[in-house]
Amino acid sequence: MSAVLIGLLAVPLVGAAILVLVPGPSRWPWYGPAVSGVTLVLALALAASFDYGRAARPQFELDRPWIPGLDLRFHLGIDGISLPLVVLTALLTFLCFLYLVRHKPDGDRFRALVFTLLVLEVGMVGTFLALDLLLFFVFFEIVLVPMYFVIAVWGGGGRRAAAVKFILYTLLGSAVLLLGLLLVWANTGTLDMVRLAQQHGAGMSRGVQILAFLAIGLGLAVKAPMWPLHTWLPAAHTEAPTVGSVLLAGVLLKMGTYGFARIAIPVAPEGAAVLAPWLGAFAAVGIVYGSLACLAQRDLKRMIAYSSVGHMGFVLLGLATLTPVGMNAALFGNVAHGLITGLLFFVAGGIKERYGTADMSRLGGGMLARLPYVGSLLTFACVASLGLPGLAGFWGEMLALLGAFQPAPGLSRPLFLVFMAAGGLGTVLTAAYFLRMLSRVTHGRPTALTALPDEGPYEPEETGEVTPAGAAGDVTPAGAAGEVTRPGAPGEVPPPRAALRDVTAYELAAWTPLVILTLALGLWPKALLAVTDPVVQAFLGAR
Amino acid sequence: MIQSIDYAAIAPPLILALMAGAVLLLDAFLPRGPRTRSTLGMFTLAGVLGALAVVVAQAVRGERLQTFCVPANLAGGRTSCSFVVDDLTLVFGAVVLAAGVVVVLLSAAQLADGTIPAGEWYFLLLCTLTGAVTLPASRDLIMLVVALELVSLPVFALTAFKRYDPRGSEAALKLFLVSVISTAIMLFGVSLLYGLTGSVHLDRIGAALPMSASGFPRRYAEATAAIGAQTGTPADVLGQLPPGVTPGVLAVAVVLVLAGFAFKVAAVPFHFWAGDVYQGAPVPVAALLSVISKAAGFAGLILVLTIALKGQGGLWGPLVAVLAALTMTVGNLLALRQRHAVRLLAWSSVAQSGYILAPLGVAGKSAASASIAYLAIYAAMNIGAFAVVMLVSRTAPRNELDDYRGLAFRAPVPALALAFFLICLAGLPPGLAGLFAKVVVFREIVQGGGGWLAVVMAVNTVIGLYYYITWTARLFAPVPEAGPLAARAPSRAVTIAIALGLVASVAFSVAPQLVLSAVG
Amino acid sequence: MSAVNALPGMAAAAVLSPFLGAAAGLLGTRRLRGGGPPGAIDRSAYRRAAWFAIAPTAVSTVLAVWGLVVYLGNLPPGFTTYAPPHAGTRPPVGAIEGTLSVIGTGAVPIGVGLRVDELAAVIAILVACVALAVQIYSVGYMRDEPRYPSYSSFISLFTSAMLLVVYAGDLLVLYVGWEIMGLCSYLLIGHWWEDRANSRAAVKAFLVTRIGDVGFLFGIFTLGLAAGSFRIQVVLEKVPEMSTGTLVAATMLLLLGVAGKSAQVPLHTWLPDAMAGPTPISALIHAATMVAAGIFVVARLYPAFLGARPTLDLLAIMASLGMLGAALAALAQDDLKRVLAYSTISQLAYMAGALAAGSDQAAIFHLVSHGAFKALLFLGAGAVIHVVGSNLMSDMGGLRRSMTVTFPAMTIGFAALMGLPPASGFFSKDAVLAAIEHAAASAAPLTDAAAWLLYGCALLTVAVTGAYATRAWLRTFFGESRVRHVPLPEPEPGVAHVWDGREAPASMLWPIGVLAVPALLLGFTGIGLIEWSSAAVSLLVALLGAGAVYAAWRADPMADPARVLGPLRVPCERAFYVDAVYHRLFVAPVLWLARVVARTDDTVVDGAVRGSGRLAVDVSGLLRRAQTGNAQLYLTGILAGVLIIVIGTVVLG
Repeated sequence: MSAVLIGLLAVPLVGAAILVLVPGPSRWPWYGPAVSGVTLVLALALAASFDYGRAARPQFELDRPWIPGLDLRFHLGIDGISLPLVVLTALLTFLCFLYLVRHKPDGDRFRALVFTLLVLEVGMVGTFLALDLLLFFVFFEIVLVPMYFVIAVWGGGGRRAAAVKFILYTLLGSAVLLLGLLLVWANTGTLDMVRLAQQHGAGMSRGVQILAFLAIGLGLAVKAPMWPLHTWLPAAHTEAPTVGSVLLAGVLLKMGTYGFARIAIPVAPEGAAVLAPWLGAFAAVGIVYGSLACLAQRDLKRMIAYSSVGHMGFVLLGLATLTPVGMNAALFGNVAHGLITGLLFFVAGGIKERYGTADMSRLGGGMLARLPYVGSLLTFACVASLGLPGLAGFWGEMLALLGAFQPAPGLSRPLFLVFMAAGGLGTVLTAAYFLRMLSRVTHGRPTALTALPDEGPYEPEETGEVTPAGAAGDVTPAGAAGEVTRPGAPGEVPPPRAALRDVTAYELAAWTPLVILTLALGLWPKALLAVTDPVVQAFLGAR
Repeated sequence: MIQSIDYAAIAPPLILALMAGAVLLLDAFLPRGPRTRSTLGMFTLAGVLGALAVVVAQAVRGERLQTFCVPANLAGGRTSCSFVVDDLTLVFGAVVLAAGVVVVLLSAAQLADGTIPAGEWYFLLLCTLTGAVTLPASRDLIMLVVALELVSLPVFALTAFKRYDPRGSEAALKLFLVSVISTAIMLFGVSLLYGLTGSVHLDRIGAALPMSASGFPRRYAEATAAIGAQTGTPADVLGQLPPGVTPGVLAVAVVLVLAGFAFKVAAVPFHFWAGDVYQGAPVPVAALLSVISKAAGFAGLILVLTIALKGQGGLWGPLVAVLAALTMTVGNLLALRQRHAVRLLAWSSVAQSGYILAPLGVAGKSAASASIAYLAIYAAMNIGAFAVVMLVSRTAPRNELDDYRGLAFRAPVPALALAFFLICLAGLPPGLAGLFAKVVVFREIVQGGGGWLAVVMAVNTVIGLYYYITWTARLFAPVPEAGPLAARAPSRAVTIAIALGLVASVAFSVAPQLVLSAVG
Repeated sequence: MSAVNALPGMAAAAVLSPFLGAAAGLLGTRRLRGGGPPGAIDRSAYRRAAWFAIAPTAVSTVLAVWGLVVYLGNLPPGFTTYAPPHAGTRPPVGAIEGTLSVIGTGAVPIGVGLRVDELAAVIAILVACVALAVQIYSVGYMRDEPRYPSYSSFISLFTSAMLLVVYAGDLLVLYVGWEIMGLCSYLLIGHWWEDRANSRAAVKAFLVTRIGDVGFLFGIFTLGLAAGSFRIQVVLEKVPEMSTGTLVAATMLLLLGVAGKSAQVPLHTWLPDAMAGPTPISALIHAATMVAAGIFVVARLYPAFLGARPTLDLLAIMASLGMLGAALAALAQDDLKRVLAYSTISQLAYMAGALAAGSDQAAIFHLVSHGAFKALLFLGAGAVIHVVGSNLMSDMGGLRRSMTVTFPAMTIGFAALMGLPPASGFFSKDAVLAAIEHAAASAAPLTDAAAWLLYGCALLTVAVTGAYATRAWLRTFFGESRVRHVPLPEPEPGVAHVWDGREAPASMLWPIGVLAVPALLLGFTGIGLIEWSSAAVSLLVALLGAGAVYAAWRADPMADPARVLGPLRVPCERAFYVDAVYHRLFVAPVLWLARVVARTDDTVVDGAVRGSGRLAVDVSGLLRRAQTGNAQLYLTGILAGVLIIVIGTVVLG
């Protein structure tokens, strides 16, 4: 079965290689969905044959030396905390490709985009499969360059600055992460995550553990992102194309928090114990700060980006408690955030594609009248994101707060109670900004749309690409036609929204799985908790 | 006294030197014709490949060769040889010669327009290579200096070869002046070192100088006293320093000796020349300076530090660490705002020198191995980048970064290759070679406890990424109108050169073990 | 006993049936794309939606009734349903529990399970019946509403969530239902989202209750961790072992959630605004679901509250302020629905007062009877509004002749609200007052001051209630008609505010008529609770208030009797400016803070990042300045550098 693990990496990699070497596949719009679909099938096969009885142990292990000079082993495996993320990654990538079939950001370089996303998938899946510290780092780094290009080539108006900020900031983080990993290696002499986790920090003095946790934690915190290391995120999210935002929020952010659960906390437990209050404090500040920042945002995508800061704050808070329940919360929150924020960015991207802007004041109101399906899906995603019980977002946040209510022994309980209170305040503020946004955008009467954005070299989306031929015309929703008024100023380019149409079949195909999974995990959280709990107990067990 | 010479040991430099002479003769006697240049080029290439073959053969046989030895009974306690072929020599030799092949190929393109006399060019090139191959084998100070000069002097002339370009001669002058100054400083240091130890052989110097844990020279007296107390020997016997000489003199000697090599590797404060000279020189010469001459400099540096001064790690370690930090920072910062491709590569290679120096700064057990590994990988990626730059310079002589805009659409293969080299240099996947090289260096630093240096290097990696990635992004940026590049067909020699760089970089990416096992 | 064992399954079916109805209503009633012209009503989808809405709720109603029957049929002999409120704690009655699965969280596990006991069985009937009435009523009320399918689905979801709260066997399961109700209230209050005011009201309802819910969740944590389980049964069993501190902390936090959901001071402000939703929704929220949940939860966890005296004191004070303030506010409103809304706050405060006074039975009794008559009142008000085309009482009057069904039904409702015998309100309100009186007399479980405050306020409120109920009744149904016999110029899209001068359709009248029965007769089930002395006092006081208003009305039937309030009238009408104060104190500062954070993020946090980038560029420029191309400078630099290094090495070494 370990061949499946190889397959998970090899299929997208070979797919990307074929794309470069063979000129044909680019003409075939289903190439991307096909390759990522095979990957998804492999991931699902993995999930199906996974032995849930021993979720705590890595399964389907594959261990080959790669670079003896660096002690680097090609060591892959999957256990209860990586399995959900691998499936999530494969799913989101597949959905992105599905979405891209009809919603191409740019016709010319579509082949390059498919190539980039496939390489990205290799890095993302590999990060969750790696069981060797250096291998983890290598995969961790692989995603940087493709994501840079996704933002820099297919992004919005300020894409270049955003892309540069993204890659520089995250590289700084990973450089520090590397130092931490090497520090662990220098003191323990092994890079094997499984062994390191079993040792629970043996071989490292307290000081080294603190230093190692600090370095690894800092590196991962940039990726997570933890306040105040988050400022690359809003820019990157706002400028990235829809699929970029989805993968960035859905998977890339998870790599940071996954690293905490997988490496930082099990490998340097004493360091974690010393620094956990700080982590918790930053997380709590992040929750409140992110929510407040959201309240003042005008751009839809930017607001969702800031909401990620808040949500990942919950994940980090869960981790900081160093309790099994907190870790479970973090892992649950990871998956839930991937699903929900992925959906949010999909919908926001769809809105931006239709209106030509994501600025809330330009969007006007009345989306529920203009685009009932899109408006409803946006409402659903927002409600899920604000942590409503019965939807996936709730369990991660609730369990994180529960963890903070009674943190691990040795941590200051009053302090964590304060964090918990801050988290509670954050949930209120989260509801506040989402509902405010919904109220502004989806409610009210559809108003006259204001002029197209005039920010910089903005290239308006080609709606001709969006409308599938033959299906247009008979799908205009009630109230959409005739209500669009154009600004009469001379010389202005009329916005390409005469064909404002409700959700397309491809959008629906890409979004529905996320909706269903959000509901399913929300109604039956045990499905995920039962998988992660054994691993978490094993990581924290010996203390 | 008759010395027997082991010709097998000195075969690589010998072949190069003989070939240099042959090229000069051929140039004089061959009839001028359209094929002359390429014939000379072929001869040169054959010479370099021959030398490379010998180096590979020596490596495969795996025996340690030495020659020009001083017997044990003659002034000193053991046999000391001036020319030694060991692992270090072979790795450096291979790197230098492999890079030499690429430089020769680039030269063919450079010489194609006929403004530069081919015979002299190839002669000088072979001379430099001779020096660069000799230097890693040198085990005494005199030979080191001679080899170093042999590397440097032909480069002045090579730099000045673009006679129609005033920048060329100005660059040559600057290179010459800086070189002279640094050589002078170094010779002063060599004489001091000789005066202190009474020997020019590196191993004898190493034996003559006292071991010190750290904190030279102020704590030198205490250190020797302590060692003396432990071993029961009087302090001054242990050290063999002439009585009356203060330990500070040793420090001065060390610093001054290092100066010569610091110039070669363009470490701070000997970096000033790099930008002007790289830009002024023909592209193949810039490539030569950034790889071959730099490798030679590092070979000498590593030899002196790890053999002659191996007990003085406490003295030169912090010094090298500071220099490394300064070098990488200054190099990166200078590269940050460059718009000229070669100038950017000049400063970036200064920064890379800093990374190579860094492991030496913590003076760990395998510091030299880490440096050499990085150097070898760096050589592959950097020479590849220069090959693509050479290609572009044929159509865009100004070689601004903006000339690379949209290259991916006009010349996809070279553009992708350059992207790969640049990502490698930045140290990011998919350029795994660069990443692993950095990991090796980081690991050495972290293991040696040089935390601050690691952090400085981490920050520098980020700065470096900025200019590499923006250059890479230009390759894929849409170009407003059709650029001038499509005009000339790419030269076959350059294409081969790019391919060589690419093969080496990819090989190092997939299996960095190739380098890591060779160095140690 | 197999019937008893089937109770949890029955409860699950009762919860799931409206849930599935909601899902079917949302997914199965979509107009086929492209079918019909824009804005047209798809009658078949509408009919489907109506069936999806009514049938599952009817199933739930049947199941709930059957559940109570089975439960009571298996009671231990000698058990009385309602003991006198001051008779101390009741004999423990076993709850029948069923747990589907236990979710390990890493700490205290969550048991996915339901429980049926007397409390749950009774409240479930209330919920299901009112929901059924509302669903049937809505068919007529929302006749030409294009979004009827989603509307009725949300009502089903609402019902399902409330039933989940009622039947929950685990505190976190309860919380799930608790929060979903918040969402449904948001969706339904904002049903006519074209109007920004409705949208704002919906957001306000969700946010204000959410503030309380956070505290509620923390309260659950406190209880759950102290008991080692979130199962209600275990928590209640462990209450005697918990320290007073834990109990006070837990109940205070729970109280926050209760105040939010049950619209008690200080989190009551959302309820009057919630009138923005369609009237049936108001009936649902005010009578059976949302607001009842708060009172229900306190009763559910009553042993914990009894162990925390300070919490009860606080509850008493909140109740006192709420009942009197809201009643006064109700007296001054012109909007009929707002009168009823404030009256809900006031009546809920009665229940809270009863709980504070130590009688959960009185509270639940009043909750049930209030559920019946308030639903009746709202549905009746809906019928009135449907006919008149306005919410304002100044546009009504003289309707008793034209609305031959609504008028008597609403008269019963108002009588119950005032507490006039024999309507149900008389009995239940008396039970509450008696409980409060006992608390004041016996100084347990409340402190004296709180108990007397509560008693005083309760009596005063009875008088004010009599006054505002009489006023609303008179202004609506008596006197000259002030109805403008012209249709409003532009009816809101979908809002059935079209005057046709006739009584409402049968689908609306039937629920009203049926609800009038329990509103009138439900009280007799608790006749054993009656204490005639306090009943006489309260009746007298209520008649006093009613008489005063009647006198004022008689003097000038066209004028508003609220004028007797004099200078107090404006503050009462504005509900004592609480909204404005909250806006000043909380909303504005938070928005200000948000702007500050956004600006700080850009200038300071990101500014530092950009600054470091700019610093590198600036230093780069500085270094480049040294690269003049001047060889002399280079050489000087080299020599100076070597000198510095040499000196440095010698001195520092």
